[in-house]
Amino acid sequence: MKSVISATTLALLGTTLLTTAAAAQDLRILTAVTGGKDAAEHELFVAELEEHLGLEIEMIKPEADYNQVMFTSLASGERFDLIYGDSSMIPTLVEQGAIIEVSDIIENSPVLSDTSVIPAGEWDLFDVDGAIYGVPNKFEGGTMPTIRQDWLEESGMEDPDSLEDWRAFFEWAHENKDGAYGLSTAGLYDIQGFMSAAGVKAGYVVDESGNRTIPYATEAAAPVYDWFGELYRDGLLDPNFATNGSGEFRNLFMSDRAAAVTYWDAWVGLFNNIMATENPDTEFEARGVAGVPGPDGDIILRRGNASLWFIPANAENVENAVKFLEFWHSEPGYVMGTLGVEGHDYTMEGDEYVLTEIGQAHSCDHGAPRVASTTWENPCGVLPGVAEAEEVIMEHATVEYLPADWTDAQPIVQNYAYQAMSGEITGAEAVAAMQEELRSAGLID
Amino acid sequence: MLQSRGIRIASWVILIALSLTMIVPLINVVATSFTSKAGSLQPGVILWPEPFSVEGYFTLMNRMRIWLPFMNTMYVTIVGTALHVVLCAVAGYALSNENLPGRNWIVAAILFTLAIPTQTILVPLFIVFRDFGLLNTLLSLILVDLVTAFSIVLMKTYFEQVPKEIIESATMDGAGHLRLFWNFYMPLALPGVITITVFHMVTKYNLFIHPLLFISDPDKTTLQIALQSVVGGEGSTFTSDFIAPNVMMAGIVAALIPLLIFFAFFQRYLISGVTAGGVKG
Amino acid sequence: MTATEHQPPRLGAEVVSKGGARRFIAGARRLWPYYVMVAPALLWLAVFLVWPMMQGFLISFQKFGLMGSQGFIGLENYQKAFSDRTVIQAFINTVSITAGITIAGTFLPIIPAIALAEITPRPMRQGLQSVIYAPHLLGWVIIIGIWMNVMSPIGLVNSILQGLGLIDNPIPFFSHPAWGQPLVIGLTTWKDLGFHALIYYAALMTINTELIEAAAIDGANGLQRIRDVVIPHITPAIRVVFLITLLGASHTFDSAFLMLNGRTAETVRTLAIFTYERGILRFDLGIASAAGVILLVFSILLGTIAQFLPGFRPKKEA
Repeated sequence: MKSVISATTLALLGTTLLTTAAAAQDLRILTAVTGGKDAAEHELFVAELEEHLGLEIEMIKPEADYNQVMFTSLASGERFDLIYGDSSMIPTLVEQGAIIEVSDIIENSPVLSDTSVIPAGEWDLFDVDGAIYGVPNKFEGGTMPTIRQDWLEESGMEDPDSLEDWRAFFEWAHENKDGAYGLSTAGLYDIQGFMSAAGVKAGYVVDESGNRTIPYATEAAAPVYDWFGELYRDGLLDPNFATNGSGEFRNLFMSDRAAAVTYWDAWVGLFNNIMATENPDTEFEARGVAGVPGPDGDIILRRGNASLWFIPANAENVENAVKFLEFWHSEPGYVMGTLGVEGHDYTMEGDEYVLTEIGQAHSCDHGAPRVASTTWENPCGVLPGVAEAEEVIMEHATVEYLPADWTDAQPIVQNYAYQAMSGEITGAEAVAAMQEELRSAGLID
Repeated sequence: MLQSRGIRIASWVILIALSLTMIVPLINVVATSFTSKAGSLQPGVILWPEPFSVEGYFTLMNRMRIWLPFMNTMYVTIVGTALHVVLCAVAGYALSNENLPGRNWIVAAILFTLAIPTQTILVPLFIVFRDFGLLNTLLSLILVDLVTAFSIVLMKTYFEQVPKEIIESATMDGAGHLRLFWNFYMPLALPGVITITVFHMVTKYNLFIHPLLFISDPDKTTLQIALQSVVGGEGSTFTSDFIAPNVMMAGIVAALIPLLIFFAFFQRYLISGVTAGGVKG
Repeated sequence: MTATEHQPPRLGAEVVSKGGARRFIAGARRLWPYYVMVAPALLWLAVFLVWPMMQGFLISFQKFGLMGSQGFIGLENYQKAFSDRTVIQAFINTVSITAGITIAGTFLPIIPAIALAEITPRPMRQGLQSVIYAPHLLGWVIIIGIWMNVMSPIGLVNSILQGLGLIDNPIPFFSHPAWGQPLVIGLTTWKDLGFHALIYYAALMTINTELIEAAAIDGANGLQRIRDVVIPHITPAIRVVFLITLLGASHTFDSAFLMLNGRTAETVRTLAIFTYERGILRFDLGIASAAGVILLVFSILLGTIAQFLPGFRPKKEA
């Protein structure tokens, strides 16, 4: 038995030594959304990238379960020069020493340090006490209430400015639009625009004395849960909200079954675009609107986690990784991230980019539908409604503070919030139960 | 078989009731796949395409290459299943010999592997495949799940049911191992062979996490992965790609058709194999 | 599964008894081709299953993250796992889900198997068999997607129940903790029903009809014939299905994971899901492997205990 174990240990050592048999690439990238939309296009994408950069590139793009693939390959010793991820991963990646700090690299790069290329505010979204660990992949929007503007106009109502206004609009839609829901949403994530009425922010908030609180679990939030509970009772809230994925409520919204959804600002444009492509005469008009002002008149919306490029600690070609990042944040990189591959997604006619049928289907998104730069003009144009929505986001949206404890805290908040939102318990009972459970688990102070 | 009227009637009732629970979801998938984009967005359970449209399939065809991934999947499925059946049937046959010294220990060891939670060993497994130089090869997918305790034990059970008297008398008539195997064991164990064939085909055909981890070369991608690349954006919060339910369902139907053909084909053999065995039994 | 079927032991069967060593060797020498036949399968299992598991076992004693091992840390991963309230709950969930799936998944398919054998004509039989088998071909994502739709608050099931006046308010099947486990168990059983029935059906086909006729002449009614002739005949198959279902159920992942949401998490999070959440989503393979080893031990215990369940061991014929 002993010899078996030592043999195992030996062999394990052996395999760890063997693992460094690296491939002959100049640049190895593990990506999630950036790249070709399918296997065939991805090949073309990488080929064009190689041409631009003059490097031999391997770019692995798993079609699903990105975290699983990333973890399995990295943990078994695979080496990459760049990996794709989002800002919520930073604490763990830094703690494990898996990625390098890139503050100096950015400073030394004329491209990446240029604030007209990447606005200063973007870096603030994910810096850790002044240290930067990733480079943005694209501009990150936020989520907001999105309404059927055509219905709102038909109802003759003004933009909803309070929970009562919203309810009135939902009631109007329910009565006049064939029993449509007022609101469809997917769980807790995107109800920030309504929670804003109570002035509470998702995630954690730490006060000056260092106490951690979860505003969604405070008494202030209770009336909003009750408001949801009443919507549910009266058939104004999609009863599937607890099990919905984003696909479900998008579909309801686009098939006249919901007057409002809570979703990404970019989707305001996509909704309009999809519906207009489907039927040019459609009356459908989506519009992103601000959330409900809180007691102090402030509106709180949610900014998305930044999608980032990380350089792993064991990267072999850091310079090439930087070369890619600089390319990605330059004009030809923008074109690839939006339009896609020349000759496949688009062709050039003089100075004009002309989308092919495939390019149209890919709706100008090959990983960075909106680039970080605010100065570059996207040849795809801006889809109707997006500019306005983005303005609202930039004015009101902030990133949540989600430390590691949030993973444990979120299910507790969610559990009671759902019960209250479906009217099983009152908002006051829900927050009391949240408080008790969070405190006993040591998740709030 | 039981010659009881009551049971026969109950049988019909049970089977039809069961079938309904299985048919409704299937109809839902097929009907949605033949519905127009706008129609498929409607909530509720679609049981009839309204309005009828094949645009879901067109979108699917336009957005993925079907042929190469399909051939890769076929190759992996057919070769993998053939090897699986041979390895497991032969092992099951050997282990059905109750005179084999150490047999119980071997069977216990094989059963032990059933207890291994495969999700938690993906990293070490990945290392094994890499160290054998199997990453990015279709051979790696053939090797995945190639031998299963389930199939060995099932085959062993079937071989054990072969009446020993028949074998003994045949042995006395001077039948060798091969003849015994082909003429006496195989016919009676055929239902078992078919069962593990069908089962393993489904496993191989539906492989998902392994090709995702092992294959990064687009030319070696499998059908399931290729389909996922089209319909998979749906659940993602960040996507700006819009895939309506009709396209997703078309993807599911496309993936199901080869399986249904397989199954229909093997079903015939299952029945005839079984009746051949039944005559002797 | 030490099934020495209804045959008196013959040469080599009692190798463990005294003086067995010599007989063992003699038997092994005579039957060596049999070992050659088992060898490839064993080799595969050793290389692609047991070996990675052993490595996983070693990893469970290490701090093991994205960058591989950061050294051995003794039992820390196990301590962390056992001190976590979630693990205890996940363990309890695993036990009850396993019990439910095993009992329902093993015994319910006997009914459609017998029913299939009962009906004629044959094409009808084949057709129904295919239909019942169909869910086994579908992936979990599809199955959960469809049933979430059918059983949603506005779905088919709730509409029918409301239409019949059986309930006033729709039942939130997929967003109520009390429904979590029944649904995981029910849908797993449903998915595998046709497959298990197929195994039983194949076993039924080799039944000796004369035995049934004899029982009928003795005055046994239909149910008695099932009890006395049919069930004993398919017992070996039941044993196989039982064991497979038991061990499969203890690793329940996909179904429960897809049904997991804020409300159902407490009741459907299994140990396998826990290993995924902690290991993959939080990049800590050490704890995931520890939880995996716990799950392995649990499964082995289950498998061993199962051997001693009444009726599981083949009866020695008098």
